[in-house]
Amino acid sequence: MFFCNFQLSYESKHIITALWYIGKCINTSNLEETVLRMTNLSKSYGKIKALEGLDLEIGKGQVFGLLGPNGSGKTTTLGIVLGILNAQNGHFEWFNQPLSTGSLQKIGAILEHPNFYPYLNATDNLRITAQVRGVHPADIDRVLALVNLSDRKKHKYQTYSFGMKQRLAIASAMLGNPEVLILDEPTNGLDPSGIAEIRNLILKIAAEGTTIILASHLLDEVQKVCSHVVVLEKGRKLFSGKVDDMLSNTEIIELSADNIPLLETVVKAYPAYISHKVSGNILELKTEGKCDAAAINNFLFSNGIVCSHIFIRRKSLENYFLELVGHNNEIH
Amino acid sequence: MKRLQSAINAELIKIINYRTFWVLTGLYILTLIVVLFGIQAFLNNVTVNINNKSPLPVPSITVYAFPMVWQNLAYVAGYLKVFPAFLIIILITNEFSFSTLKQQLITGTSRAIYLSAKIILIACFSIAIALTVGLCGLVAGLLQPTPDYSKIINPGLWFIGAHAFEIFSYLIFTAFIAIIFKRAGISVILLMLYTLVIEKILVFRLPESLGQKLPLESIGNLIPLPNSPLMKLFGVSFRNHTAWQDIASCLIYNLIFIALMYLILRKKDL
Repeated sequence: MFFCNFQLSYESKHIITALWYIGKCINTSNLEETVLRMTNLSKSYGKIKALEGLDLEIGKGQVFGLLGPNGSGKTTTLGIVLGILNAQNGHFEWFNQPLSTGSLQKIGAILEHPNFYPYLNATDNLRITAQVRGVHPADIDRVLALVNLSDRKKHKYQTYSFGMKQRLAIASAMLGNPEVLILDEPTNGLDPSGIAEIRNLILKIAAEGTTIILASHLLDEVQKVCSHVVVLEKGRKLFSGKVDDMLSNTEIIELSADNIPLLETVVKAYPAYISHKVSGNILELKTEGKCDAAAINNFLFSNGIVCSHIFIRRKSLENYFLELVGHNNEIH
Repeated sequence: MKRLQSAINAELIKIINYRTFWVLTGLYILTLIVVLFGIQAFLNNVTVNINNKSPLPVPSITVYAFPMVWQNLAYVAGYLKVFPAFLIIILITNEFSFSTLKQQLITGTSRAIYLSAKIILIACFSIAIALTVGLCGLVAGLLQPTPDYSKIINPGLWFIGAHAFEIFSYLIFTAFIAIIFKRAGISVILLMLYTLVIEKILVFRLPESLGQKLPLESIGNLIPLPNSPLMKLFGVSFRNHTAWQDIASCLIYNLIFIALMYLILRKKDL
């Protein structure tokens, strides 16, 4: 048998404990950054796989977009992490703890449609929410003013237009100033001015440090508002990262010179080179990070090529998205 | 405790501003009063008719005489317990059709607290109804030509308590059906089907010992058919107290239904 002598000296034990504790402190401050973490989340409705092995991590203060077509699993994901739906596999944590009513009270959420009692007016509906969260009734007037519903607060919910119902839902989610706001397609069915209003509201709330999780199928909205994004399709994650990175994936530099084959060879040697494609006498170059025309021009010139045409072309986000989804469909 | 208090406040907000609630409750109380004060006249009519045709003199039945009034009224009121049941079905299925249960859970109620608040609401209804019946009994008894004041407070008063328990158990059973089916129409139909048809068939088919233990039978038997001079004529005598077996079996059913309701809320996707 191999006997290891574990008789550490008194001092070393203390040093080791101190180091472990310091390590934990450093680690904890990193962990505190994560607001929501999902590991391998899966759910099926009978034979339909709504979610397959989703891994996700959302940090404090991010405006996180869940982007995907209808039926991609956005609402299912939100339903699972809010405790409404049961996942068949995987697990998740809010604020590094398993789900509890304490965590839920720090989260304001709207899922799919606004859900209120039609026979009650706005104030009474919000009073019920306020009771559950232990929020002072004075906060109700504040959130109603925030969404411009103060003048209709005594009217019954069933008399509201759809836009007003959406706004009431947002007001309800914001009662008590939650740390996390979850909005599932908040601009659904709104007219353009309504959409702009909601967008400004989201940006305002985000500026105050609230973490926002936004599920949407509108690429435009996600691009304008979110800092991070995950793209879902048929329950699978296609892309995850910063919105800026996703946007940079949509940029292409068009180059042209007298000698295309030579251009190709030189371009391949460019440090940030990812891929290229030649069509006619235009070479389309994809680079890492944002496209820097000046840097490329410099590089080519110093290698003996004079460009006759440099142009940064932005593929539309929609095309990029369709490409992502189409590519996924080809494989599967 | 504070969370339970908040949940109960939330339930109150939901019903106080609900016109349907007030209309149904008002109609029910009105029906209750009319029926309770009307049985005497009805029975008098019946006895007179029978007397005209029977060889033996049939004694008239005084419903509101003091010791017996509690049991008599509680027994009759027991037939009207479907009305509060409809109210409970509406209140609970509303939460599903408006998706407000889902919203309340997302907002941060726990399922246990939510269920507890509903149960406390049901308990309050039961007590209020029983007190109404008791009040009717008191008033009716005092309005008699010769009320026997010494017999006002007597063990018969337990029947009012039994009535509260009867309504409570029946409403818990109704709530259970409402939570399973989630839609008002189906719940009402199923409740009526079970009450009027299915359990009667089961009681008929099963052996006596088992049949008496079925939920609605136990609930109904909490208040047995009151003895009356008519019965004495035929030599039939019913119990004049509530049997402890029925109380125990109702308690067990209540616990089972409450546990099942909690499990359903826990496990089902909403």
